[in-house]
Amino acid sequence: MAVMLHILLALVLSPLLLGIIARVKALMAGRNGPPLIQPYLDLVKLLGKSSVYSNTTTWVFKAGPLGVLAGLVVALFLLPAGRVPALVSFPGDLFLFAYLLGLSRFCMVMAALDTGSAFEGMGASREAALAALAEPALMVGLLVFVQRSGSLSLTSMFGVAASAPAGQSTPMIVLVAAALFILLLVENARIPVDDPNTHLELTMIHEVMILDHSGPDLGFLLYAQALKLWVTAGLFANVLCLGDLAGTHGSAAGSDLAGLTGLGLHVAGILIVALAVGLVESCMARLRLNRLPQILASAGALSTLALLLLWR
Amino acid sequence: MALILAALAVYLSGAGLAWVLGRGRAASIAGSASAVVGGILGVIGLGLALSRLMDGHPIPDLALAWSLPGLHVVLGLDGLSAVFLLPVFVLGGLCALSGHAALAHDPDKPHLGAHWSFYNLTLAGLTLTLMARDGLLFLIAWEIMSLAPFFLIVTHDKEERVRTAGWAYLIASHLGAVILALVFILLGREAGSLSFAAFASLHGLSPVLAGTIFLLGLTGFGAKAGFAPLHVWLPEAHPAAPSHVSAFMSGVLIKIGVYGVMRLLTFLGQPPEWWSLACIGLGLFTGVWGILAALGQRDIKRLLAYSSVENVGLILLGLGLGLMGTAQRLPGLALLGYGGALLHMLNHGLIKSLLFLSAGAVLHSTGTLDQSRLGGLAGRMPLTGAAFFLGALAICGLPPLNGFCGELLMYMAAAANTAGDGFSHDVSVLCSVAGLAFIGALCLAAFGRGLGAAFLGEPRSEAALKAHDPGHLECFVLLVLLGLCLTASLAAPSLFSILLPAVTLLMGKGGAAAERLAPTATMPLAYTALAACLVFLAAVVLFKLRERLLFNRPIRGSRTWGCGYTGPTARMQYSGGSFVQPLADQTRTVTGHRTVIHAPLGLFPLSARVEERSPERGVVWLFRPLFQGLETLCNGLKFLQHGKAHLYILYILVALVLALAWKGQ
Repeated sequence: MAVMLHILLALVLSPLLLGIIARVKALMAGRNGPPLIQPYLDLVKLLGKSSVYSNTTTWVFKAGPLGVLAGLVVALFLLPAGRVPALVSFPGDLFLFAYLLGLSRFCMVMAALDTGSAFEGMGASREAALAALAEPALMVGLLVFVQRSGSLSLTSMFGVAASAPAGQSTPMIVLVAAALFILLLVENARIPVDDPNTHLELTMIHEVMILDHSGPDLGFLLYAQALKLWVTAGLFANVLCLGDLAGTHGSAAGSDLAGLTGLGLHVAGILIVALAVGLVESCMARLRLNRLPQILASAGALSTLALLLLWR
Repeated sequence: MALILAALAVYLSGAGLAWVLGRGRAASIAGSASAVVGGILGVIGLGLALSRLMDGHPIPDLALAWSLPGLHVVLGLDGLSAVFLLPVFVLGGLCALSGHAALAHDPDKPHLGAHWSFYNLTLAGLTLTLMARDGLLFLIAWEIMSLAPFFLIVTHDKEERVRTAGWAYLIASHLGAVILALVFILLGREAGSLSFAAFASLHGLSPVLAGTIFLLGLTGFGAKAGFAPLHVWLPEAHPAAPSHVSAFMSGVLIKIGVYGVMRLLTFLGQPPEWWSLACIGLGLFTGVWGILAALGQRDIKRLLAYSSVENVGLILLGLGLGLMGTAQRLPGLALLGYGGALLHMLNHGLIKSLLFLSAGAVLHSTGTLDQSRLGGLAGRMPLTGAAFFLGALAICGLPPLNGFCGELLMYMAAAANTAGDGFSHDVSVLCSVAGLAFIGALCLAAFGRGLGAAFLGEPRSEAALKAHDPGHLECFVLLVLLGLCLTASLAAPSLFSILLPAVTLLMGKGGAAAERLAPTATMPLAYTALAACLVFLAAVVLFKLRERLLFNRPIRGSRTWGCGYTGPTARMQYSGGSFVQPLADQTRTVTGHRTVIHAPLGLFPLSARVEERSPERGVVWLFRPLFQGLETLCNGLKFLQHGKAHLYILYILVALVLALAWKGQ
């Protein structure tokens, strides 16, 4: 039951994250900002519109949003929430999870290139270049947990903090969490990697790739963006083992109440991540493009350092 | 086995028949038909053989009576041979069908009889190589299988580029063959016979000798498989050959090198750990090198060739992980490693054939494979575009297609290695996981380039504007390959169970555990197939939803948003070179990739040009100096070759006297 509740919560609440970020930024800037449910209103509006397609585009462009969203939805099915196991879980699912995000990236990039616009090509190019460094950092970060738990499944990978003395794993978890937070900013195209609010298409990554989408397609992509934020923030919350803070370890592992409390904490964690992203966006400027490989490399270095701590 | 021998006979008679029928259409029909019929016979035969092997009944070797001294014609069929024979039969037939259609309207009018004769001879040579159970027979078959493709590569021998490529192939494969001869001589001296049965029962090889044989084998077979830096012939030969030949070479032929390494490993007994580290290291090096080089390629087929190098690297990585399992006596790791390598071998064969045949359709329709002259093909050749799109998705190892399956097993093997500790363990785990991820992400960039520049956007030339899908037969082959890719993804657990006899064989003493451990691999594959279905389902649901939403609403066409600029042309699109520019720039110290800009000068500039250069560093750094050194050395010996007959007679005399003196000792 908790499993389905988790999926449902994710599907319903994810646009809220975008609302929270926008609200935090507005408050920090001393404005009132849009209502928290603004993304929902945007979604409803977009889904109610008709579409305009560029004459250059082919079926690839129309298939793009479907692939992007389908990949993310299935990735969500693989994601556990604290103590609540994932809907689909098996040894090796973390690789499928990462590659489903890859699938949605592939569809996004190809749909952007299909418009034949130099701007969208530029965004696609940057997306592909950033992925080349982000992917290894993510994998190494997850590898830390695989090596620690000896398990290849996201559901059973994170929960072993109880068996190890807390003091030993804390620095490691902090390092991986830091790496994952950087990756979260990169994957979701937030400041300091990308600024969705600039008025110059030239400087953007994600926003520029969706310039030519309209109507329901744009709605799908907006929703996909929210879902991606939820999924990556969920991974981050799992790394922090937020769910484990609920019930006592070991004993009533299967009890519904502990599971639900864990799920509540997990969701709270995700909302806090959105808050943190909003704060980062308020306090930082976008980095120059040629500095981005450095922060990605530092994410990789943090993950590797955590791995070294584990093997020490 | 009878059916497979029948397939061999069909190939050989097809080779003869095509040769007799001359250069016309009849020869093409006969030659391709024999490849197809042989393939069908072979697949049926393999099905029967595999069902026996999977039940645990070995198939007895077949020894033919033969009069030549030293040559024993012994043919066998075990799990390993069967797995590698499968793509020979399937892709051999499919590529022949496509090739028959493509060569029919080849403007150069190549000699079709010769072409199909050598094509069938290649197939026969491959079958024989995979079934040979005797060292000498293996080498002879290897030679047939290496020599015949040379004539296929140089089909368009009027072009200088093609002749150079053929030459590079010939040198590479023969240098490899020389080293292989050495391998078999060393093995034969130890075993006292050249039969594989004697090799397999070798015990107590000294570690130095076993290591030497292993390294020689890795080099000799590596020249065929394209392990870096021995891969340099691949990016030359694949673009030069007709597309169905490139598809076949990339899908089948280069994997024979991997087969050779695997076969050799079954002779050498328990591997020490450094072998596995050597394979992992070389595999990662090959993979990263291949995909980095692929980034810089303007020619689609060169890009595909480099991607083949990368994938061979991945297969070698899987093999290395398997070896690590055998060396450390971890059967679970060995199963995942070997299984991943073999599964990726099969899947890559299907995907790469699909991609090369689509590239062939592009070449046929537009006359060029240069990405900066193409563009917008997805709309103009829908089937080819879909084939290339899905092929690119699969080759990047992305679900829901089959490229992911093998990579998943390799990832699991790489990450699950929790048992050992120490420096070598740590480095191999970290590097193989990070390397796989890095290669995967770069692959997306490389194919984003190939697919984006050639198939998406606006056409950049007149030829691309008029592009159209190829004929029915070629479209049919593309559809079959697409279907096979999809089936291989959704039926991955069954595909893995076909591999199990081979994996058992490779695991050596730990092979008994293979059957028991098989679910550790098939279960994730089954779940992956489920996830693939979910992806398709979600996409269909979303598609229906969008259709529903847009029902009765006006859908307008417009031009692409140009950010206010109103007169865009096709040349202003982001080109392939600019797409990979960030990555190419970051890696140029290694790859030597350069973008040379001839900027417009003055108030009234006449011209401006951007040039993309991607030299093959393997050639520049290693082979050119090597061969130049060799040439200098040989030039130094020229004084012996002066053309004076009486002195030559003296040489003969001296040589004979020396031989006598040696004999007399």
